[in-house]
Amino acid sequence: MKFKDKLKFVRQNMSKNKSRVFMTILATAMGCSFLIMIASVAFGLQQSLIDDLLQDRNITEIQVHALKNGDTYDNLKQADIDAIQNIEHIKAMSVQRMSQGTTSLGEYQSLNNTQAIVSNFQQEMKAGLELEEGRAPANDNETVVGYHFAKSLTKRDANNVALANEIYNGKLIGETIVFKATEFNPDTNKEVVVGEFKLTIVGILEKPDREWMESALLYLSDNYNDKLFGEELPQANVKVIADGADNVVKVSNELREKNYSVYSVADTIKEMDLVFLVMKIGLIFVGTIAVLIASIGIYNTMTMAVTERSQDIGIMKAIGANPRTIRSIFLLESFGIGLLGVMIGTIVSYGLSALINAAVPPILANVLDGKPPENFMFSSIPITLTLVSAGISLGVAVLSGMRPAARATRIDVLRALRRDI
Amino acid sequence: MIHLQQIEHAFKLGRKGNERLVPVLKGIDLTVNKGEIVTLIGRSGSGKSTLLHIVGGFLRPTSGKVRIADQDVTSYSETQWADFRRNHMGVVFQNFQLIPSMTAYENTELPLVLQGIAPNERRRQTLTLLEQLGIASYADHYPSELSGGQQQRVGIARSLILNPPILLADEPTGSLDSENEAQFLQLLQSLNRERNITLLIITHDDKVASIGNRTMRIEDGLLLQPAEQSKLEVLQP
Repeated sequence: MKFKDKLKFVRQNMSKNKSRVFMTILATAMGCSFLIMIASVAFGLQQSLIDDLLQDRNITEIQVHALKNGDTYDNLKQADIDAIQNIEHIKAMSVQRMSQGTTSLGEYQSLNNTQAIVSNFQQEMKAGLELEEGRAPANDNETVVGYHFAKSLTKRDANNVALANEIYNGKLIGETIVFKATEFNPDTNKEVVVGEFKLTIVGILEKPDREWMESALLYLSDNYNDKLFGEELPQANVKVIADGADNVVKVSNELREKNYSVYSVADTIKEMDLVFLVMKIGLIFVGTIAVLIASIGIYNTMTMAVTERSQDIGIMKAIGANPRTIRSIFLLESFGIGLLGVMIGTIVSYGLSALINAAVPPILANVLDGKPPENFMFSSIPITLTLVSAGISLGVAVLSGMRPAARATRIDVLRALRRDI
Repeated sequence: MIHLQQIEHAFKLGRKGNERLVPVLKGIDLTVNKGEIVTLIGRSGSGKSTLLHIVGGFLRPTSGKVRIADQDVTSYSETQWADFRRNHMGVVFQNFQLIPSMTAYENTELPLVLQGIAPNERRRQTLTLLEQLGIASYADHYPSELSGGQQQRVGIARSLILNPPILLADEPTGSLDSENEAQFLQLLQSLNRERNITLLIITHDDKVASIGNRTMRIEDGLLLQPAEQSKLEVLQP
């Protein structure tokens, strides 16, 4: 018997008791939808947490904190930092030392202390630093400033009090600022001016990822290290950028082997993935129970179908229908019910997921009395979840049709024909 | 064509654990030659239907040997029997046994569907046969919309659609009136002549039995040979 003819049989059989078949499809759709929705919460939360984790970080970034020395950790010396550069698969290395001071642009002065990052700007650009406008500094007298730098400059009155309404609103690029670097002297308990530098602004950094962050810093070339810190360099903030996500583990491991204390966001994501994997398996298991309950409906429907059609089956067998053919028709029918249920359940799940993602943040905002994280997703349905759920639902549908299908093949012809033959 | 050798059959009756065997067939030997019409007559409960069920593969004999079309089918599995029936025999049932949700056309076409014949070829063969049997105009009718005689013709069409060399019929006129019965018997005889089909007909009706080249009588599970029959007829007029 051809597959197309079997399908025709199945269609005819299903249309014989539309309401019962519809209710079974509905139960399967609900089971499948429940399975997808419950697991989608784990996928959504994982996605939200990872997005949040990566918002202002690079997955290929490895932070190097210190050098392990037995049970203690030593600050990184310049020689230790230089040694890192010999490791393979490093795309860039950001070595930042912090200075601070006041900045002035004509009659405008910085509202608070300006943070100055002393670093190699070329390496910073390679490490992923982006400019909103302008260009990278070409010499020591040029600088790039933070996105909110202009907002940090205000006029002062005669008593040197900042005038909050007199914020600098002119262009920055091409302007020359004076950065007066200061240092705290613990002996005199006073700020001491370390140096005064004229710098031309040539670029503005891009806006920070997080809305609440304000960036009013400026970058200084690493040639300022001597001028600002002398021979005793302060502890540097060292970040290594691997040349690909695949090499993060490799570079991290090599750094650890060389006794560096490192941390990468990839380590956290790996740990998170494991936790969420366990959570997803658990939730899929719980969701599968709903599918199993729906399968009772399929079993019941198919058993009733076999009972109702026993005479038809008997006639078919009497005229030469192979038991395998009979079984495949019934299995195809339970598969068809499962397939329709999966299709409806999946469409409903995508709709519900979109609805939940739209509805939950405002509810959370009300409950938490604050804004939930940006782009927060309560439910996410990746294609893998859809495929796994469809596979489970269809598998269970076919399994629940197997016993009734086997029963159909065992129908006794003479009994089915009420011994009329 | 059909060779039955020492066929015995007994039904199990009673509750499980307390069953008893009731013998129905007690050593039947029967040969039906190719192109022959053999009619088996007997009273209700004589075992004639059981014998036909064994020939059709619906029952397995308790003992004995069944050879049909040069094949020993005695221990065939259900699957083997399904294939064998499709390829070698048609069965005509007393109550027609048409599938109620299918039209006359679909009922007739069903064996071709099971055989995996292409739709165009199926349509050609089905319409030709329905035409030959004079029921083409009822092709789209459901069994409930047909008379007894028309339903039996659809049943015949379904059993002949795969051109089987053997046709088994159990009380084929049991549900027909005398006019339809006469037409039906003529149809069987013409099929036998034109297609050289071997016919084994079970009946209790003398008129049906009269179309056979040979008529055998079953009494109490035993097949009586013609000589014994005449003796029986003398003893029991």
